[in-house]
Amino acid sequence: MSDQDLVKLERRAVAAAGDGAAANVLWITINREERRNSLNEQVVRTMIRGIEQAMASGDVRAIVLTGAGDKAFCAGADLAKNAQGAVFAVDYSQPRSYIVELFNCMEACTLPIIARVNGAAMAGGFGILCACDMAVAADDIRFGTTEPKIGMTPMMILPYMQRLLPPRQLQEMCITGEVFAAPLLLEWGIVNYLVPRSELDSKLDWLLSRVVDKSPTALRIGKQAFHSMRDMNLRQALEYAQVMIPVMASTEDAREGMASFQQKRSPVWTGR
Amino acid sequence: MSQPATRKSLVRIGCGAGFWGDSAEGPKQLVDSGAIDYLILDYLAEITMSLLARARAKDAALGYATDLPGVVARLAPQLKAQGIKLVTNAGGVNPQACKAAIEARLQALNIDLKVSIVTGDDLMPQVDALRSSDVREMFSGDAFPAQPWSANAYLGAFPIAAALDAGADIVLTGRCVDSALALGPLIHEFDWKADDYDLLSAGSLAGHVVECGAQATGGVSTDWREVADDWDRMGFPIAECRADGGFVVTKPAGTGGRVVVDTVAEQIVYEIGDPAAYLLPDVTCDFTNVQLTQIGPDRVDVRGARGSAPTAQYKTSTTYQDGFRCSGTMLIGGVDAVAKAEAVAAAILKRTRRLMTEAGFADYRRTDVEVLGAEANWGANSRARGTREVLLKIAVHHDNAKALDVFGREFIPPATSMVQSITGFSGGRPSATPLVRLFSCLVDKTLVPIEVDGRRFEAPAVRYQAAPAGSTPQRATATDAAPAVAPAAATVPLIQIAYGRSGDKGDSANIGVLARKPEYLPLLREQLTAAAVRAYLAHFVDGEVLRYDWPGLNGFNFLLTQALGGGGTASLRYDPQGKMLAQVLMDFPIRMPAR
Repeated sequence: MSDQDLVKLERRAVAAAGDGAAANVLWITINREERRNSLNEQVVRTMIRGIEQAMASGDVRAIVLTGAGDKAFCAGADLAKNAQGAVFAVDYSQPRSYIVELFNCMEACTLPIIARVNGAAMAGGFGILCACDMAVAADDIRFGTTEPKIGMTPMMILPYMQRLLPPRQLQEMCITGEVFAAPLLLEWGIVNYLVPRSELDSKLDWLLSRVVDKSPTALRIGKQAFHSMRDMNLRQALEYAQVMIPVMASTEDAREGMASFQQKRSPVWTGR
Repeated sequence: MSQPATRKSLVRIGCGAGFWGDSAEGPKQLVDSGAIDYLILDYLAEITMSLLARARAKDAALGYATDLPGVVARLAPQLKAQGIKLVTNAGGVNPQACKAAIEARLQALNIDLKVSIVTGDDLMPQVDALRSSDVREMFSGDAFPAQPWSANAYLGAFPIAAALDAGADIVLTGRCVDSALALGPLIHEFDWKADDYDLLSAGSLAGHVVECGAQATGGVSTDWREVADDWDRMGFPIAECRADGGFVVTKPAGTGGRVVVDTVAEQIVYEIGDPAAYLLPDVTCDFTNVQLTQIGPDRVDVRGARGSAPTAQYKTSTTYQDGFRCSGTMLIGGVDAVAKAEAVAAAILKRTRRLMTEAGFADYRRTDVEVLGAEANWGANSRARGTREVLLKIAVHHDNAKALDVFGREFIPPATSMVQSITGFSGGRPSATPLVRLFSCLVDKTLVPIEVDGRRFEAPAVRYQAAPAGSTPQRATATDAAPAVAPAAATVPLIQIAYGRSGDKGDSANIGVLARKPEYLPLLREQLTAAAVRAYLAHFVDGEVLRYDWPGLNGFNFLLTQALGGGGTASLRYDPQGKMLAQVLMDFPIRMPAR
């Protein structure tokens, strides 16, 4: 099986809100339905390649991350005996995990990444959901971090869980390893929308249509600011903000946006 | 099978070639834009099949659009990277050879793309059966030709969709309806069924709009000045199609052209016949209530196509040789240039007829003289009889190529023996070429076995309809009296209140005429009658003129039968495809009501 088959990278068009202009979205679909869309090195490296290609392409405006079928979004690391490129098979002389490389890549990604949660999000799969910028989920799915059940505890995904989850709920997940039903995703603020399965794609399209009609420049600067400020203290963050304001205002898209507002017309973004 | 996990919400189809010989810019521009999911290329005009059949007869490795492998090789890395699929009728009469040539180029590039072929349109194996079935020409009633050069059925979109369902990246067909190149991908992506007639009609309309390339983006539009500055960098069309059948016509950002309601409407009326019953193999289309809306710069939303069941037959095109043709032009100038040209033409024909008789040849079967520059295409309405410079064209038709050698030899001597100023023979003597005629007929779908990649394709079963009702046109024949024209205080040329586009379908011409404002429609209805158009174009039309209503677009389509001197390469006219007819009609005088 080639890596092409393990993860499908597919450009799809979506109509922008307003004038319906088409824009490209890269769909990254983990395509291992029979293995509940679990991760191994090849899967993760293909996902990384997809994100990098989307950023380099210049004409992809957003990324959708999902899994094939309707059972699993991603079940985390492939724990099968003899699994190829297993997550925990680390060479101590080179203690780098490709999962961390994926998180670094998502952290540096200048495009919005939206999780299409089509099925169970477990362990590492739940971590990937947390690392996305936004998420739309089907209302019949389940999620959890089951590491405690096999003598471990969520480790690589903990930083993202900490940034997203209320601490009591995080601890419940990490300590009990319990599997939870979809409504809690919304209650805990893990997804933006929870919809019946039949409406998953139309809700996703709706959300995408409101992403791709915005300035790519503004999205890029915004994501950079979000990730930078998140780990700053208040004073550093405010300093960052006041330095970035003139930078942002001098971009072509910012000038176009202000001009279009004054001229009462739709803006045309150049992405510069 | 590589069915998508989820269905796309939007599928973008760009057409990068409207005919074999269209700009090489098209495919590259569309692929570079990053704004398409499918690239379609239409290479086959009605007469192209006969030329390809001749090529295949000489070399079994030919018979397809030989430009395509080079086009694919140049674009393959991007097609692969962006996942763009290519659908084209470039297979001609030899899709197998086209596939082999493409696969060789892809292999050399080490790029893995699956090439699939649709075959079965080639009816040459069945011609004896067709002849013995006493099938008749659709329009003339002629018998099936004795020695056809090519015979092809116009296939539909479902075999293309089947090839895509099976994972094809590139689909090559032979003859299919042009719109199927777009409808096939939409059936595949949106899982449209064989009885989703409104959707099949809408998808066919999307294909119809883009299939002629830049004709959908401002090319050949009536209001040419609006686009002229962009002609050197014309954008090619993209249809952004939705699962509900609606679509937006647009073009790549940063390219020239003009996508507005008028330019899209002009392309919709192009070569359509009865807009209430446009017959395709998969669906009978009703485009009469199509609605166009400008929704953004160079973005026109199209919706409202309706459909009903198709008929049980495929339309087929058979080509055959009917003797030879020969034509030449010369430039004549000075005072009385028009009269001089007419006298020269008469003398050449008289002289060659005498020489042919002396040599034992029969007379010409047909001759055609046009004094170009003197508004030959306007007939009795010419206003250029006093022009001082004309191009004289003489074309002749004969069963015997040797007889036409006489014409070729005697075409240039008038330069010293007749009027002063004759010039322009840089091409040398005109020579005889085969005159290829088109024989169109209907063939039962059951007699046309289709294969996708060599495997029998079973078309989805639908309940065919016998004869779609269509609309009831206003009719005018030669025996109808020309309408009486009441004197009017003010007349304006039609172009001031309308715009339009013309084209052919065999020997019939289509002229779509659309009112610039809805309030002008009553003027057109009252004055631009079938009889008035029949009279205005009497010098061209041997058959009848039918006027079809087109309420959704505020206009009419005029169908002129037996109006192109035989049509295609059988016509001796300088404009055998009626490309100029809309422009001729645009000078039709309209009496304006007093304010």
